Amino acid sequence: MMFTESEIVARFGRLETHVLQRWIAAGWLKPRESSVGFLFDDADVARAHLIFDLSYDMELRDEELAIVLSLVDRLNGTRTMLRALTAAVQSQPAEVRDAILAEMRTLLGGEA
Amino acid sequence: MADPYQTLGLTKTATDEQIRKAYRKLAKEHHPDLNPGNKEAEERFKDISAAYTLLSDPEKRRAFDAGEIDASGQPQAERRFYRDYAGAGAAFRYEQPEDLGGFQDFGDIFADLMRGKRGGTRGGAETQFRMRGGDSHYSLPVEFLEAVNGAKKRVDMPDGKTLDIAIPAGVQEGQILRLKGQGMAGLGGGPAGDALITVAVRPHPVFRRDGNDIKSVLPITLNEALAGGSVQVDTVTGPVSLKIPKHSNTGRILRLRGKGVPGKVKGDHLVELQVTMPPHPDEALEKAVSEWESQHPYNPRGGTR
Repeated sequence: MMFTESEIVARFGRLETHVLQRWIAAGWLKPRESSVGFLFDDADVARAHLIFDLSYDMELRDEELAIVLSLVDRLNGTRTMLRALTAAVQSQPAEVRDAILAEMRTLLGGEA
Repeated sequence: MADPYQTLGLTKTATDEQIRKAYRKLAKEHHPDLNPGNKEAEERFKDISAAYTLLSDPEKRRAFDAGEIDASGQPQAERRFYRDYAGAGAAFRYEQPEDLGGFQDFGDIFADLMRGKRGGTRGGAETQFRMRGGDSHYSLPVEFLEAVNGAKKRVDMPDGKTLDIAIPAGVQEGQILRLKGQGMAGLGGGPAGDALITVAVRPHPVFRRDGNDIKSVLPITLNEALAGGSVQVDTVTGPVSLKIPKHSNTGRILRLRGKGVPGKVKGDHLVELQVTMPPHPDEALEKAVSEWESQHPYNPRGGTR
């Protein structure tokens, strides 16, 4: 499902077009560019909603918002990596998996 | 559904401002995208949002307080949070390459793993966001003559920054000078903001400014007023010689062309004459003038009776 700029603005109610365009210009949103203008997929819409919450409801200024978004993106980058690593460990033969888990327990100081 | 006041940690007497503040605080704490691994955060955030939606709408709040509607209000549209896409590959373009490629402190394994994946990024490689830095605002006191003639100043700003400022000739009170790239640093490699400097011109004891013209008052002696003569007068670019015409009165204005504020349209310097009595009373002068006037009576207030 793809949405246009005006559909996003209509959907969020209080959001103004020029604000949405500022977010795009800042690189916070990367909608697909097409002959009819920007097109937002579900992930773009969800991300726009997050920026909307941070800006309109939590009243973060752009400087602060940029920092929060950067941390969210780093966190998600880390989660992607961790998820892949977990899946890779799971797909190993039992003895390899156990060896990895045992090593992790040691590294994490016995608490894992 | 729980009582919306309770959800926000408030009582029925809460003001609109208290409701807004409570929501903002709780939303920051429980927003699912700020707690991507925490399932409870999403439930809690939904309750907080629903409570706020109800209480921030005066009509809905009144209806709820009056018992006309229950706390569930209207069904909320099901919302999918960004975390459902991020960290799962669907929002790969937003995750920052230096983080994925940048597990360098864990060894090269991950960097090699991620290398192939980057190709699928939408719109090319600029996944990292860039943002221009903010503008810094300063106020700068400038001497009158510096504002008229221009100047170069090295100024220590209150935030510890040292700026070299070229003050253009003819700058006006309240004018804003923009120093490109001297504001706050950009984020993610974005350009720095600008320094915006508001000029505050200090007054001068002799000169006043009127547009591009300079005005000053020039005291002259009785004899200079009567017989005329050449006197020295200060202008913004230094002293010049001014010829006072014979028989000049107080208030007469003499124009020194092109001696005002420099610039495309050069201003003039307007000198207003002020006939000045000698410093102390003098009998001889009184007698001479009195005698002369008895022979040549005149009434400078002649027009008004």
